[in-house]
Amino acid sequence: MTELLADEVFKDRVRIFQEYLEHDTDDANVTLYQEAILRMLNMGQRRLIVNIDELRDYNRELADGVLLKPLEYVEPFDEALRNVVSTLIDPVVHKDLKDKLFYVGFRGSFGDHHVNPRTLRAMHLNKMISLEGIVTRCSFVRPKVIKSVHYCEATKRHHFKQYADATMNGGLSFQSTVYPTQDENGNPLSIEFGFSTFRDHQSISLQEMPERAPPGQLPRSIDILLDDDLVDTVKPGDRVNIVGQYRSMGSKTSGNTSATFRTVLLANNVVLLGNKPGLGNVGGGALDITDADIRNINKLARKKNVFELLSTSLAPSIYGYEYVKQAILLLLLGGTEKNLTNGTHIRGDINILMVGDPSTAKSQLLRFVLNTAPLAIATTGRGSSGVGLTAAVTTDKETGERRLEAGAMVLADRGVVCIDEFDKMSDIDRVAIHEVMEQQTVTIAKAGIHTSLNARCSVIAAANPIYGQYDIRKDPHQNIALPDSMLSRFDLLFIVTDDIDDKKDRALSEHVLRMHRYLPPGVEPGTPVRDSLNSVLNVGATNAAGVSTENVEQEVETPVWETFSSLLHANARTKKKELLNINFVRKYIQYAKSRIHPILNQATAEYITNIYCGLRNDDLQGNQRRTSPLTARTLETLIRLSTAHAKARLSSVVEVKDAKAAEKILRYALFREVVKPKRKKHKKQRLEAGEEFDSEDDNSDDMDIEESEEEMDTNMVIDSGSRRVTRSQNATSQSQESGSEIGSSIAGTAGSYNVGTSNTQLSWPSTHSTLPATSRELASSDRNINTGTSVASEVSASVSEQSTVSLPREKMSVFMARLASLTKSELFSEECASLEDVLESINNIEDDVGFSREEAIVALKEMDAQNKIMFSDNVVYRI
Amino acid sequence: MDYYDIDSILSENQKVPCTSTVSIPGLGHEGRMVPTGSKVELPFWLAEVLAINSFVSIHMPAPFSSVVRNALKANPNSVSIRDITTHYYHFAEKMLHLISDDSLVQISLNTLRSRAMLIADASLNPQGALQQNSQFIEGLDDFEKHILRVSHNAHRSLINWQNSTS
Repeated sequence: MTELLADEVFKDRVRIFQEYLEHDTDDANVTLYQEAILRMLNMGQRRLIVNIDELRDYNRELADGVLLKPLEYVEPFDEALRNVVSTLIDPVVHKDLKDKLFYVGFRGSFGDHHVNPRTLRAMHLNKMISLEGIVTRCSFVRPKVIKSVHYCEATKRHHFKQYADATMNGGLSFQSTVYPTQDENGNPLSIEFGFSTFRDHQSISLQEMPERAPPGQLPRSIDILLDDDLVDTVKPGDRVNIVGQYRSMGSKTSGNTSATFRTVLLANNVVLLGNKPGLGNVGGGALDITDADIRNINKLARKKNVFELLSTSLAPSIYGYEYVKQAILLLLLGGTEKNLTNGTHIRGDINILMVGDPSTAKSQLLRFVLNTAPLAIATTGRGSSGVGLTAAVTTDKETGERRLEAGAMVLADRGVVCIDEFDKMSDIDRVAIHEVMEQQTVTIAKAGIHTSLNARCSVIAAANPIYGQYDIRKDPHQNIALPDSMLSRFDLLFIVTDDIDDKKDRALSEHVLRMHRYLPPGVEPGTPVRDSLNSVLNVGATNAAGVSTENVEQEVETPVWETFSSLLHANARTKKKELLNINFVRKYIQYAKSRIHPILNQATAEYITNIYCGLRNDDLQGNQRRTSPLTARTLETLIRLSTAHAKARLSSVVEVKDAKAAEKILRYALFREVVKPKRKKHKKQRLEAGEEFDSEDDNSDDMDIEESEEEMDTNMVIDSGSRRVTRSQNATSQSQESGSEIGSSIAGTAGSYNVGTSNTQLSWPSTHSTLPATSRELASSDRNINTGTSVASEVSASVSEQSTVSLPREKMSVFMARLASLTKSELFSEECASLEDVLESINNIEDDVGFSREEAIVALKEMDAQNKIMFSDNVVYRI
Repeated sequence: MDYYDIDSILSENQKVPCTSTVSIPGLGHEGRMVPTGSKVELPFWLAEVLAINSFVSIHMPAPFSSVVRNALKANPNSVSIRDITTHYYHFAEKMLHLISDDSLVQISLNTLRSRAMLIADASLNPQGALQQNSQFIEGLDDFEKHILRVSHNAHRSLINWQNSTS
């Protein structure tokens, strides 16, 4: 048997592959390549993706040949494709593609040829393999000369030379890459650049996915060469699956001292996976929003509580934090940015800082943002430097030129930067991001490079207070070790504190335990968590017909609601206990963010102006402190928050209700109550989320009469709104005249506060029931009617519950005031006094108000319930 | 197979995606009705009976989807069958009682044939010369594990017999 010449074999294979590409079949599951090629041409692409499973069904030998001997089979396949293309190409329609090279890429099941950078071995050399990993570095795209054309002045003739390095022509022909300067007779040649052909060329580094690396080992990486149409299809940070030939390229150092070779992968197909672990093939930047999705989105947007629905569906595994979650939703949506004609850029991105005690799920929230936002980059305070966040000047490995390397914030342009442990960052590094946070550019002037890079990103940061634990006796400024210049750049500053409160702790632990018991639908109890099987078994399966029909249908429409589970939904605060599917929320956010650009109307503008003026000019009184400075940036914040809220409603106009919601969040973030250090017996008193408020009434219970008297002496000032309810109550209980005065002052401020302090209002009934006082009635009557009346009715209801003989409020406060002064008198020198003595002394004070025995008992019982005194067996004890 | 065989019970408990052709009261979550044309996942023993009486039409369950088939065609030895299902062969056998699918027969047979050799090898040396066998053994389904155990015991008995003096 005579051996066939290499060219004969080559031609034979071209013929077989051509037959395969042109063969016709009735099977609906098999790709018709002639149609696929036409589609490719119409889309202006130059790479035909062949499913290796179908090739295997057609001819096992061919598929094995492609996998095991790509050097001998891929080149004829390319050639066959070019032949088929030449019969199909329309010179008019596809004139851009004329004379271009066409390639085949592969997808499908690679069996044991599916490896990762760790399991690559010498036996895989010169085989077709498929690799999964994260792109860590991309070089510049550089042209590579394919054919140079030279003109000889002397002989008036053209010469050409083709170049092929080891990556081309199947790696078989090693030609010298010397550039000809003379022809064979020694006549000088000059190059004709216009006739020469160049091809794009890029090398990237692919690193093993960190979550797949074996325990305790660093991920490994491999170099990958991308040619021609594949260049710039990936960027650092992408998770990709790359199919290609594994090749050795000859040692880089020309010396013969070592027999090691540089190995690279010559890619022929790049499949982008989702850039988030665990989310399957979603992500990868933008999601595909289908018609059905848009219908669902619009349907949802018509709901009244769409904002609450969206915000509660964020991170359902994290308990509480309604406002922080709302703020995160607004951050993900973003405001609208303005570019003025004079070059001023007004930022639309919202920045959030969370400061708080350890173990308050700050980092968990960051991780949530990281996994939800289309583009998010995570850094930590200690692990990042100023240049790492902005931009660094480096020396290029290949060319030796100085070039800029983008830092985290530049890479996160139009995305989110999550900075954990923000307080641990050194001052110098932190100053570097001042510019980014307001101007949203990075300006570099060093090492001969002067440039400005865009960094339009939102920042969400988490920090611990200066003493580790938030000290509520100190001002926010003393707790947060950040300068005002930094704080003012954050739109919202949330102080999250870890309260000890039985009720809340119980609810929280129940929630956490529920989350541990929760199993996603479709998972059997006891089965191990499986990695996404699809990508292992079938490379690049999503974008083709190779998937089973169930999957295809899922792609079309993302389910709107999370399948109900009593474990998951127990915490949902919406009435119907509904939670949105997180992938649907992502689509909703993406749709709202990119499509809706709301504008302010006149009424909203005026409303926002009023809020801003109110915030700026209100005197800070009593124990009220602002967490962050109020600057003109706060006005921008209000506009941004309102705009983002309008986006959540898919409204093209920012309405007053958006501004109100924005104000609510801003006020929540802005005002913190501080407890005066003189208090002896302080309990943690925080104004956190609504449910934490229960601690408030314990606190007021602790307040003894002595103290309230003291405060009365020191010309007590009532701070704005209802924040310091307890104090004003005690103060007014001292005397009627001042009481009414204070009450009216409360009412004055309460009018403007009726929106911002809704969480305080929520807790009013609890405070009220135990502390009836005149001021409250006055305040609530002047307060806006709805809340005022409801509060008052609740108060009276709870009071009448406690006593059969109801004591008028005025009388009660007078009684309390008198008893307060009595407790300091000689009557209580033994810490206790009998009821008769007390009654006598109280009625002794010359006044027209008298107390009967029944009234006194009711009042004393009431005070006993409030822990102001102790009352039992007709004896009054001082506490 | 024996009625009380645990492997038989477990393989019948695999979920099969079905589409209901009529509305079935009491089949849904907490006894709700399953309306016509809705997709439900039912255990095989239930789906089988309902399908025979044409109350539901069944679809190919995930272990026999084209993705897995192609992977098994490409290289049966590199697929971790245990990750797909713990009772691949038993389940395939039961499925094939219900439907006729020649390619599934071929694929299952080829898979078992090809893997049997490696199983025999692994039974002699569970580590493998390059430590490659441990990963392979982890990916065996219950039937293959049974073969492995039988093969291993047989081999040990042989050694014992060879070493015995009597």
